[in-house]
Amino acid sequence: MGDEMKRLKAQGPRPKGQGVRWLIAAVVIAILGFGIWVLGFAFPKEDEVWKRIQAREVFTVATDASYPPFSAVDANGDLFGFDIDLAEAIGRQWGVRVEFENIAYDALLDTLISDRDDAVISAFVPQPERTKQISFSRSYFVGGTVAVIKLEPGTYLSGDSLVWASGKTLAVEYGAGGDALARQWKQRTTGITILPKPTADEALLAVENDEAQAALVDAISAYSFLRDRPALTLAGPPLEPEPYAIAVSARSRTLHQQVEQALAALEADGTLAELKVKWFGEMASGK
Amino acid sequence: MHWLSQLNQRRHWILRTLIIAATFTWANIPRPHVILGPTQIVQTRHPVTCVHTRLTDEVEPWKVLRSLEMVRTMGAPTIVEYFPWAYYEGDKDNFGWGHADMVMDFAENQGLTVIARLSGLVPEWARRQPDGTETVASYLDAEHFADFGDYVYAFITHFQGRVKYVIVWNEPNVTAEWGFRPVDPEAYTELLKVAYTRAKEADPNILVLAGALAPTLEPEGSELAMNDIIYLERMYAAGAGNYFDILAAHAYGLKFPPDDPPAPDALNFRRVELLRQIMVTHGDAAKPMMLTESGWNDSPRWTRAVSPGVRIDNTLAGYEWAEQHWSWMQAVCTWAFRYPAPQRSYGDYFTFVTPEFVPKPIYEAVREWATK
Repeated sequence: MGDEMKRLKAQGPRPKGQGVRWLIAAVVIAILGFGIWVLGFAFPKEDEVWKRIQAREVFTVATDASYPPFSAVDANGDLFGFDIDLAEAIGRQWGVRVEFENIAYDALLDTLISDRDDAVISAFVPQPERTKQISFSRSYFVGGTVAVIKLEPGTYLSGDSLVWASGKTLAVEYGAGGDALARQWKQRTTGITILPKPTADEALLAVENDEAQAALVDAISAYSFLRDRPALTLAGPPLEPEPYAIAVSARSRTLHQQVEQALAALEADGTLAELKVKWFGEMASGK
Repeated sequence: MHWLSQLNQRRHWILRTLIIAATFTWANIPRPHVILGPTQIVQTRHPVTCVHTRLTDEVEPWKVLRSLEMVRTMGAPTIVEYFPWAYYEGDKDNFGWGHADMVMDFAENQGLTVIARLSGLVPEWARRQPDGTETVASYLDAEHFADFGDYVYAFITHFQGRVKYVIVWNEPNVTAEWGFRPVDPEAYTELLKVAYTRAKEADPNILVLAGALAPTLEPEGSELAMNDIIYLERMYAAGAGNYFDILAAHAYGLKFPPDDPPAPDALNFRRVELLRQIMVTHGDAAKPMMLTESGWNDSPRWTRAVSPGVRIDNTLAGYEWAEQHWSWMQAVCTWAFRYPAPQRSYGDYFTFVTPEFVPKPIYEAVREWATK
């Protein structure tokens, strides 16, 4: 045993009051820390991006203009589409002008991280693994695979999709998401016949022509096709929903709140539904 | 305050009990076991079929095995897999082959031939600069070519007789793969010479693949890349012909069908025929080629993609084209079988199987074609 240990042992056990003092100190530190944490929420750091939007009266939006009808470039080089109109509507809500930057899809979020643009509005699917750097708004549009049927009583998809699909011929775009889904269903139940077609439109035509009882296709193709086909309808909500959201930097808390409020307002006053009808037809409005 | 004092005395026991309980619980969480069954044989009617797997970043053994099982049942007897230098030689001469052992063991168990891609990530110690300048992971200067040669030697020695093919580096004609420096066919040829020599020292029967050039039209002097045709010509001029057994090539069809004719100003599947012509011109007609990356993409968000159905048709027609027209093509490896996690980009639309192992229709189509 070393001299130091002997000395400590000679001192005897630690007085009881000393442990209590340590406990009190720890509690005080914890309370102070909690207080600072709470104050951080009560008085958040000023959002520089939102401040910039207000100062310049310009909202800069990154979009990948290669994905009509969400965002595309016309013959004159002007941007058009649902996302462009949505951004303009948000700009009007805030009383600011909107400037767009056409960026490749894979680089969209980088423009937020580098503080080059204020938001991404580009049929963007939220990426859960990026939420430390990026905040995503509520979904303003839901894509994904949908089922399209003839407008007849008793054909809607309610309850178990496998029960609904059993006994049906399902037209699909060969190789696409609807095809993959139909193949999964076919492995899990009986009586499903898959009718592959080269395109989504041809799969939808198969329903119209009574070759198939339903088509499993992507929502965008379905909405476009259903515009002037009153005899066809959606069997229900998307089978594999793909929500699109607006992305902003996670540092831009005020901007995020403002985007949420703007979307809520556009939803409440019917603007969002109008835009959906304009670009995708009645079926997309969810009414 | 008596209770506090009691708690003070007991807290160590409470803590210990909790740790023991947590350890016991963790140890008893049921996990998928990996039990290798008897060695399998790949049933295929088309031995040219091959896929580039992405097992490098796959941590869980059962997922590695599941991937390889699905490759086998698809009818592909060969895979390309990446064995990054930095992962296996963290310190000079200190090798840790754990993950590579697993991949090779499982591949062997599934009856698959592995083309080992030895490239890319350079260990920090092999790219450290005397003046402290930062370097990227693909940076390797000539002073450390010998270190890479040692890695090649160690890899082949470790897997003596079990690995038949190694690829030296990847897409050296792209600046991002060459340490973000101007690409340099002559320097790559030097690297190839070192790697080839060390590979043959380790195993005279090993077959060394060179090139794996990115198909690109970038001219000489571009800050992004160099035209693969020019690059290969310069490799030959630098004497590369003596230092490889097989030329690896990458062939992406983009918007074009597999029979789209090759041309110096076109990027398509048959562009490799131009590389082949260079080989023939330089007296290398006897050497075969392998496509170590190829394929079509069906992303709705990528302008160079095709529809899912066209992707399937082109992929099958590409295999058939190689079988019928390219007697010198030993393998057509498509990029990429599966990613461990979504890339959230068009890259996800190159795969055959989702990260959750759900086979895409293209998987079923290739399986049907290769095995039925």
